[in-house]
Amino acid sequence: MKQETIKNIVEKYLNENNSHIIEKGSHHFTAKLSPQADKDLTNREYYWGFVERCNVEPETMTFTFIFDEQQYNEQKNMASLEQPQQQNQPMPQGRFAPIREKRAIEAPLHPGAEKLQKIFSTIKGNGKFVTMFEVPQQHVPYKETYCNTWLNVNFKIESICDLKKEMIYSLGICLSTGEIKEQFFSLLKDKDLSPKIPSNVLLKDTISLSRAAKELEHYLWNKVKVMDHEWSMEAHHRLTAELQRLETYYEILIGQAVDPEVKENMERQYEDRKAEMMWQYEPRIVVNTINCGLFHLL
Amino acid sequence: MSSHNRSHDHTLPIHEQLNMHMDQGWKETLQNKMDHNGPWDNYEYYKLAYEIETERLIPSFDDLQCLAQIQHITPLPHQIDTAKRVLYEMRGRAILADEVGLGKTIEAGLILKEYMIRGLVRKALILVPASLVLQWVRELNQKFGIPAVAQKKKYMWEHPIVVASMDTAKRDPHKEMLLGMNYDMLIIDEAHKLKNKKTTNYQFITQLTKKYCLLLTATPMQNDLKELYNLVTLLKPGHLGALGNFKQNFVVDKRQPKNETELKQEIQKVMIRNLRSESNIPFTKRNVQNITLDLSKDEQALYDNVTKYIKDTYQQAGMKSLLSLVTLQREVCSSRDAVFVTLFNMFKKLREDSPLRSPIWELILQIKSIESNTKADTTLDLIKKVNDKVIIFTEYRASQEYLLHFLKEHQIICVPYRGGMNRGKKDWMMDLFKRRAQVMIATEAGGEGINLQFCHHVINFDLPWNPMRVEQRIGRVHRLGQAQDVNIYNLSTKNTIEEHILHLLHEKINLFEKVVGNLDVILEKVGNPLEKEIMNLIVKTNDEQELRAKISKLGDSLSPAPH
Repeated sequence: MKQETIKNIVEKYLNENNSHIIEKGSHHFTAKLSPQADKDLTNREYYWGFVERCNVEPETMTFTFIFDEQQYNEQKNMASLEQPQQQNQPMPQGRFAPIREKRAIEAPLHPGAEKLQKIFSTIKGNGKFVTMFEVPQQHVPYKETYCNTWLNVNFKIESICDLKKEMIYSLGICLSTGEIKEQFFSLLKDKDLSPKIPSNVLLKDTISLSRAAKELEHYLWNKVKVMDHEWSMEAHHRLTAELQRLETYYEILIGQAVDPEVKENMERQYEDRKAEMMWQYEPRIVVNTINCGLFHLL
Repeated sequence: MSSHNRSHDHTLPIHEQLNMHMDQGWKETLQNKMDHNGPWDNYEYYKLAYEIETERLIPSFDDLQCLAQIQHITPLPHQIDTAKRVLYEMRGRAILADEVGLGKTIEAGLILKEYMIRGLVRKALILVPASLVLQWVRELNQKFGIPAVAQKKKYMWEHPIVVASMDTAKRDPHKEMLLGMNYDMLIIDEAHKLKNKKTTNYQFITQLTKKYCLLLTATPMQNDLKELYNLVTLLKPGHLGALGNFKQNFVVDKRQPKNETELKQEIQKVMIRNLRSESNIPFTKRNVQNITLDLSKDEQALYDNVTKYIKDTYQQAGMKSLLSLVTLQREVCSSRDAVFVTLFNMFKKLREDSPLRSPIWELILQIKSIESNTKADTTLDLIKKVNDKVIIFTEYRASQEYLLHFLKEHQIICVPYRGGMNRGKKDWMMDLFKRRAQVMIATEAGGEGINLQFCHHVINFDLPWNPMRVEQRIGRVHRLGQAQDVNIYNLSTKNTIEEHILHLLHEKINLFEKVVGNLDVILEKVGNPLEKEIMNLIVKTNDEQELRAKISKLGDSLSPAPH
């Protein structure tokens, strides 16, 4: 994932939960976190438990997100060279010492970084099911408009053997006509959508969710069926060869075993090894849902 | 296992060998929300979630993802090649057998990271020697951003990525827990400890359930072909056939392979060995010098008397004790202190009225009369000559103590290093050696896991039977980060068992190079020692023929670690 993309996503995330971005550098953001973001990112369950139970005003942290650690540190060093800090002031001691340190932390946000994963999983966990309404461009009083309800499901298709590849299918089905559209997600991009139903908009009768879901699954199944599955044949051949190797080996070992206990042990081992091979090589396609929503479009 | 956990799935056939499993959970949740009109999620997050998934999508099987996700290190070309071969050719089951110091940990880290990014590994177990647990955790955390933890409490086995010592893992109550888990990946460092099928280590690893498996060792074979067979069989049972077939196809004698080309090919399917010389890394040179010494008169007399004692005892006690008797000879060659400890213990074990006591006592008395130690004198000269930091390896604790004392007498600052020391003391000794002492004296156990790139001279005060242990010793100094050429001095004494050891070492090195691949130079090349002569040196008996056969057999089964 590119740095620009990460920046973009993090910025949207911060804005969406009402965090306040204080400083925007070329390699970092510093933000005063909103309570929600603080809960998401700072691992302070105890603190938040305390705040909520005692009903006190929470103090959220200031968080610096670093997109390029090396560049960021260089920049910081340069800055500190240019402005020598005044170190000569005597540190207040004892009871004059400041009670509270500044609540500020920083963390790198390169691909794979822990805090980035945390942001991603928060976003994913809170963006699974939506229902949205298209807002009419012009408001004409007393004119009622019917809209079509579409079910959008974003499928992630994983082809798995000892390796894995992925694909995304964004499908939409019209719940009144049964029409199915691909790349549905991109169709939504330019639309003006609202979570509240606009006035004068009426919904049409729809087919049941389970029927619509079945239609989508069937559609996807047909799509997947005609894809290139050479990889799965190759994986299957590998699996067959591995199982063959185990069979030859364990047949001899089990055949040679005289002690019934040893024999039983060998047989168990053989079964375990076979299960491992299936686990490792067996080709399969797994379809998961990223998220889904109902879209009432004009 | 993942394939058993699909209660929520709906399975649709694609072709005979392929099914499509569809997640069903979303329908119920959505229906629920529709019935209660919410609560609905945030549409901005909905869009962002889709964007994240699109950006993170891995559209192809074989495009290395991990390189973009690691910070702070740039893997070397041979490390990247190794990772690719393990992923796409060996399918995640491999022996990583690079020479010491080429970064096997980095290779394993890359492979683990790639599988984790692709979601193929969630749960991994990493078993390493106790002294390396924290180092592994640190490297995985810092270099790869892999959230590994060091196992300290029992509940910690539940953590997705755990680093632990083999000794802990194989013991109850841990063992039972681990056998109940399914590991997406198992990594074992210093895997040559699994060379013996009968050990609890080997049996424990056999019983673990694992999908991918990496065995890391610079020395996949130490003494004979069976060790390599065991290691490969642990990784992929049947890859080299059953033991009978393997022997038939590839073994003439323990250290004599046949069909080497074919054997090597089979082994290369599961093992990768990068060599320093091929890695394009500017490794410094390794100069090896065998220093052959004549024992002083009184030392030689002691050696002869010990040999005579061995001969006499052997004729009374038979083969069983010969191995420990040969140890006596090796100890005489190391230092009088080493042989003294052993003899004294033998003496103490015997009943007070035992007739066996007096010959031992005579030897002990003779030890007392010995003034000089030829090897120690040579060592001292060497240290003075190089006038630089030196690490000395010896097999014997008593020789280590003696050397510490001896060198101190000659105003040379030295520190000991041995396996029995705890972590803190080891670190302290290493630090002292780096900053204050000129010499470190290490016993064999010191050979693993310490990095001494600041030192350029190694003295092997005595040699183990096993060339890989010599290689491990040298590897402490001659590794990535060493800036200067490294000088190695192998001390051995003429007309003693040590000549036989040298011969055996050469034989084992030859075997290793035939089957596994090249070894960097460990011993200075010497002419073929005449085995017959060496045997004569050990024991001269009337029944020479028989004894020679027996000793030759003994040589085959000799290995440094007790099985």
